[in-house]
Amino acid sequence: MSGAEFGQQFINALSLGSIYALVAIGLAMVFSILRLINFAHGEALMIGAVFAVLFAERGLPWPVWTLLAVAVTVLGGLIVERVAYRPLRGAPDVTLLLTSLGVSIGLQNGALLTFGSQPRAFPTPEPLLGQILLPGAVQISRVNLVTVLTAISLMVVLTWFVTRTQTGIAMRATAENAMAARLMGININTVIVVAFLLGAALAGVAALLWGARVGRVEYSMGFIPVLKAFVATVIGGFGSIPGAVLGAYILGFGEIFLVALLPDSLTSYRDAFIFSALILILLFRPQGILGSTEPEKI
Amino acid sequence: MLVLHDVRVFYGAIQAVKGVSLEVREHELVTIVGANGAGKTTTLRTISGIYRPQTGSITFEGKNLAALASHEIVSLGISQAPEGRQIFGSLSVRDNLALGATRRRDRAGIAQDLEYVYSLFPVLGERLNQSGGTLSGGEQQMLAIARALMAKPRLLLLDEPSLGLAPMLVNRIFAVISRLKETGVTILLVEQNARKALEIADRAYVMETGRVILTGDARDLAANPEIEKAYLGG
Amino acid sequence: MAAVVARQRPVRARGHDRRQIVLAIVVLVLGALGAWYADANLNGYRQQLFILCAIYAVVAVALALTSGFTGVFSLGQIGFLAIGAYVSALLSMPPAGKQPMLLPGLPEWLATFDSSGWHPQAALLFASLVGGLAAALIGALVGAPLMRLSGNYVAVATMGFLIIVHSVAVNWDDVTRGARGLSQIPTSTNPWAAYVWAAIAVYVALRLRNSPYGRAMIASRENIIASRSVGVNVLRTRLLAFVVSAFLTGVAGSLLAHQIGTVAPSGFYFATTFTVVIMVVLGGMGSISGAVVGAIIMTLTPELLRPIEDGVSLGPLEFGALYGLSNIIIAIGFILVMIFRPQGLLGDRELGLALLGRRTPQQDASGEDIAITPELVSAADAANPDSRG
Repeated sequence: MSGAEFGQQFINALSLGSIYALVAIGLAMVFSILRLINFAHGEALMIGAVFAVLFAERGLPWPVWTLLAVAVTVLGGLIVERVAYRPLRGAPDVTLLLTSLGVSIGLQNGALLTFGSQPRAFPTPEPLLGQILLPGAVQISRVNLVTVLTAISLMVVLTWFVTRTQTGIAMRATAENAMAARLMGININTVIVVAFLLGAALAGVAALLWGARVGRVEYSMGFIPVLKAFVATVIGGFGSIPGAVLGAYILGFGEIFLVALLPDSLTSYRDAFIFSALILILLFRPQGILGSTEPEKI
Repeated sequence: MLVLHDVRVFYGAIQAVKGVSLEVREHELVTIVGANGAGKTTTLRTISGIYRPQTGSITFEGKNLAALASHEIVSLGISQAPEGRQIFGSLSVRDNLALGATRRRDRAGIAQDLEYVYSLFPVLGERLNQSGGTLSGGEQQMLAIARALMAKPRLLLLDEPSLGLAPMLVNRIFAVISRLKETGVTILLVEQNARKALEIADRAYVMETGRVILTGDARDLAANPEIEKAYLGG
Repeated sequence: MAAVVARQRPVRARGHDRRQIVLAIVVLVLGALGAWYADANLNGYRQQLFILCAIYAVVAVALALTSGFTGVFSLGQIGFLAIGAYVSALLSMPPAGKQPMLLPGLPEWLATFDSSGWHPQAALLFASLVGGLAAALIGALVGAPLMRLSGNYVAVATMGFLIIVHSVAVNWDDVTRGARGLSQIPTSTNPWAAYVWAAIAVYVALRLRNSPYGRAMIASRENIIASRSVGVNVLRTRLLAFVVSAFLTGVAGSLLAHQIGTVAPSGFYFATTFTVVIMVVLGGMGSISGAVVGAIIMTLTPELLRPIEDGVSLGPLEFGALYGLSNIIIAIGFILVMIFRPQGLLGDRELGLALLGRRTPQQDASGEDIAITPELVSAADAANPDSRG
């Protein structure tokens, strides 16, 4: 691998990891508070991308349709929380998990019904197309650059939110000890709504970045990113937000460089490798790299 | 002020509290004593809205608590320092205290109360930026009480504040509780250390396997030979 | 703690057992009548539906065996279905379909293995047993470490297993023909074969459940600490359930392959997983007959909904083809069940006993004096952390 090639792959991995991170943060946030593994989180990504296409097709300028798409995603996340998850407060973990699977299937088929089964092109805005040439003959795509910058700025804002605002601190307190949080007078439902709101907003942004990356939008597009984000949260330790981010970048780099380094005959087994790693982590370090919550082992 | 009437609480099919009735009057310090597993903690958590009573009523100044969510109960002026302290170990002392004041909006009052809890527990003022998990057991207990005070409660619920503390610290904690009572806060104190609790309390309830089996003036109960035998290790 | 241990299911009364046997015979005979009717009188489509119901009953019962009894919720069940289907298909395909030109990765003995001269049912039985054993073997290998996990963790890890199996099926071109899948499998699954395996699955599951092992399994689901203290080897009982379940699922995979005549990776992934999960949840986790009922409902419902998908006219309104609608209806129905009846139709009960109006599991222990131990409190917290919202 030449230096320039390495540079390109490096940015590419950083960009892929950034998208996984944006999706993984939402998963980790919701899990830390509700102990819900939200499979339907991938559908937030799908909804964001689908509405981006629909709004763009109406001829709206891109600053408008991107914002609208994120707004619709947030709305969707809040509706799902209210309708499907809130009635299940206090239900066993597995009930929550299965319900999210149901939500996921329902939303996917809803998109199939309304959006159709054919992929459509993602309307990547003009300024994002093309490449930038860096010194040392490193060529990086504008999409990758924007992806990395967007993700990093959002993470900075999120860090500020959870460490400096009363609501953010209440969120962390609830994740750590829900009962004590209630005794403090924290309204758990508000905290949960905020977690879904933030998670969906990040997924909405991730949807735009992912759409620009893969270039097309279809009803089943949320599946792969959510699985990957999910592996990222396991690597980092269920429920730890910094862990999820770290796991996402490890996964992004692992995936890109695995493909670059493995012999061709094995690259298609990429997912098998990734999920074998997942099982190994669950077995030998179930609390993840940064996780603090003790796993429910017997 | 607070009246429980025939309260029953279930964990699934298991009845943990079997018809408890008790009363706390304004400015009183009332204690519930009893062995581990008697239902004391469950009773306290039910008052705070963590568990819902199956039957019976809980009223605070005439308002029915059983219909309220836990955060609404805090808003009414009932806060709790729970058993095992349950401070937020990953958050700083400052954030822990700020969370105690979650339901309040009076910035000036909050600042004033912060000064007040620092005066009660000077050590907390020295460790504001330390994370709660790094405090010693005694400091954590002080933080738990301070955090509950930040809600500016009119009724303070204390669950086993002396649990696991060295005798000297136990004395300090009980001294603080007496001092709080003098400031006019009404206190409901759950304790296994019955001797200490009966020393500072006005009245007491004795619980056993989910029921109140005895009640009366704290001094009378401390002198009761049966109580002495069962709970005071006499 | 002692009090909790005492709450485990009481030994069932003898009269009850007898009633259950009578009921079992009645159900067996009814099922056999159904198989006979399906075999002799039903047209192709309906016969296929009967077979499908029976095959999914096997899968659902197998999943209920691990998930309902042990509390180890496996999302990897369909991986075993795939293993059974592929292994049995490779056995039964005629050598002409297994030439090195088509499947260069096959060992020679398998490529030349030819059961086409056998009685079709003997060949099917052989392929199904081997497919089931292959699944059981993999199940033992995978399960041995995974059964240490519980709750969400085991669900996630078994899901990882499913993804790995899928990835191998898609990519191992030389043996599986990748996404195109295998074809030319003799379509020998008839109503009788499917029915007999369903009956075997139900029998095995009921026997396991009522054996000391089964009680141990339920104990380990309900209270790990308690079952440990009475000396139940939780890992071993879970693993046993997992392996038996893998075997039955592998057999079902074989029946499925020999029904359709083709196997392809897309049939063994999340959509199927979800369908089977719904069957078990709908019927009631922990109920064998519930799993059967769930399997029948979930096999027939999409068929009933299919006309809606193909387009309907409601009075003046004309709807064109509505792809995805039946899945939406099923998903919404499922979510409603989770919210309003999370215990499913039957909960922990069995059909016959439900009819007789008796509850088998836990009795109401409210009258007992039970000390509130930290374990109990944390169990109650887990079950009900937010009772008021």
